[in-house]
Amino acid sequence: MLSIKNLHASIAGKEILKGLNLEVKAGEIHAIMGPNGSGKSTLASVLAGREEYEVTDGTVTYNGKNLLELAPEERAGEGIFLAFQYPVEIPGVSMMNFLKTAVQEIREYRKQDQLDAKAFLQLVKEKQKLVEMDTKLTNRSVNEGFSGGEKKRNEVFQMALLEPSLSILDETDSGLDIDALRIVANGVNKLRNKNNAFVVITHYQRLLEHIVPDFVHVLHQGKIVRSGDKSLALELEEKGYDWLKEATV
Amino acid sequence: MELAETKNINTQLFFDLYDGVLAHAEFDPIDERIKRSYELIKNLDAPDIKNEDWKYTPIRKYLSLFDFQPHISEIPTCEPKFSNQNLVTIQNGHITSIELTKETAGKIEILPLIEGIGKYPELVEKYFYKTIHHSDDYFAHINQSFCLNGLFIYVHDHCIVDEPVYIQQDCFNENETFHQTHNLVLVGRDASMNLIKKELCTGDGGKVFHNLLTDAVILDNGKFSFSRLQNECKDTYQITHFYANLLPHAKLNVNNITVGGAFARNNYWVELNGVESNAKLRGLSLLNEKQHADSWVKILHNSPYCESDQLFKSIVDDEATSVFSGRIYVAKHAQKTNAYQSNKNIVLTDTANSYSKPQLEIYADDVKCSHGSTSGQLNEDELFYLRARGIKEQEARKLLLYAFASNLVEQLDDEHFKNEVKGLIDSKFNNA
Repeated sequence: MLSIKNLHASIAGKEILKGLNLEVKAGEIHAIMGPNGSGKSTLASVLAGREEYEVTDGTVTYNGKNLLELAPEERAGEGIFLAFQYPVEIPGVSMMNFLKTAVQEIREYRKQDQLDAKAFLQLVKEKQKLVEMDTKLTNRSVNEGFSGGEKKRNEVFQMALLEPSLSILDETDSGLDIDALRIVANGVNKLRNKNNAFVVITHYQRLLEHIVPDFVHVLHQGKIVRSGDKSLALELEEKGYDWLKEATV
Repeated sequence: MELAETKNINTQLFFDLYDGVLAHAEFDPIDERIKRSYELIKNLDAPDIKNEDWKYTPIRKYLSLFDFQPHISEIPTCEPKFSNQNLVTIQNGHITSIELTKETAGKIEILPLIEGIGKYPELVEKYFYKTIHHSDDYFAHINQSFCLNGLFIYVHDHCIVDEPVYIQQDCFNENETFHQTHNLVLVGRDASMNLIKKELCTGDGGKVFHNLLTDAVILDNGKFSFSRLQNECKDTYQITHFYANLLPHAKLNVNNITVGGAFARNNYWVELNGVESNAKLRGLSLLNEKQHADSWVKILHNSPYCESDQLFKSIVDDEATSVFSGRIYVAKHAQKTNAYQSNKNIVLTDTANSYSKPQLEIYADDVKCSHGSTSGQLNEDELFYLRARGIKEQEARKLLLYAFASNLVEQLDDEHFKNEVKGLIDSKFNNA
């Protein structure tokens, strides 16, 4: 599904990713952990197509296509979804208008029929229920005045609505209390199936108690320095990152 | 500015006009007040860019595009009629019809200017031609001196006019023309009205220069709401003056939407002369190609416990230019003033320009005033967020531009007018 080979990326001339390799297959959940500044969020941004990041070397293919050549909206159409670490507030753009535009554009890209108003509302209702989102929130502007937890839930809600094949959760757990964390994780678990995959970027093992990964990777200085199964996350939790750094030197 | 400011404006033209008008007038030529305007401009020429108020708007350049031919404005003869809506039509600078519903006609009088002045000389004497003389705007005084064409709108005391009054101004002249209208609006005590003016061109004729003036007086506890849509063709140039005098507890609400025309200068001069009066001014300019729109605002807090709020926004694309110059003046005794001013601009290209000059002039010491100005591009983070959800870049830009304009559009209270404005914004952004 996703194949990243020797990925180098920089921002403002500073190299952040220094030869990253990662293979993700359908049905898998990958966790990416690592200390601050190791390049976790850069990876998420590069995959979603943020223009400030420059890819200097390496390849990223997604379902056989060169992902790096695609515009962000085309990547979304191909099935990539980034749950933002800091979802953006957009005053003046109503949630419903935003969701409708996104759903219809993605359906157009995927050559699916447009939804009529009734079918769209039905879909919104169904997915709202799935992520236990307050229906009042869809009457507001995009993320405007949402609490931290509501913003993150809104990300999972959009994920449910757009039915991506690969979801990248960029520190979705940061700033969440236990209840919100559980709701977000439940949403992800309900969306999970054998045809889609998740890349979960996180600092802490906490989220991985709720979203159980098949693989755990440790990112350090722009490279994956160690991969393992979910027990690696527990090991990191216990020992911190220092021992890993020393081991790699 | 590629055209040099060399050609002087033939002010003699205006004076010929003036004499012509006087020759036609059957009444005492609105006396001293007009003469004062006349004296003021007699020795002046149109302002140039050295004039601080015209620094970013080369008005002489625009005037030099015209070769005005003197013609005497005819005094309109139309009689007000009953209809199922309140509608005044102005064609090629002349009032061609005045229609009022039966319901409205009992509350409000809309007359040709001269008739109104003739019918209510004591009201004109008491209330009008004051605020204009506090300003020294060249074009306002040109209008005041030479224009006897326009409307006299009088909302009687205690009358609430529920249905809006529409003014539709259309131009389809084949020749180059210079139009002036001069409107007097008197909103009585405890009275209220909603005036909606649409300016358009149906013909594809010659260049037009408008110099329009509205002088409004809102008596105690009166309420005047004025919304205006400027959507004229590419060959329209205009200067519009809006003067208002607010007496105690009066309320003014102005919405201005500028979409069309080559050049627009909108002057607002609002005096809060009565305690607890309140003025709210909103302006939105959507400009592309070589359009130029300049909003010039002066709000004078001359009384305590008043509130004013200005919000002016512009979106400039291609080689367009927007200018905002706003001033809040708070007199020494105007304590407990609340005055706000905000100007926000989105500049879409490297060749588009936006100039902003927010100003405060405060002599009282117990006031709450704020002013601010921002100019920039669309927010990249917002754009990326939308695109990451599969929304094409152009569509995402449109959503964000609409969002920027939305709080000015959404608060228009007439649904028809609001939908018309929305449609125009959509088509303007589609072409952008």
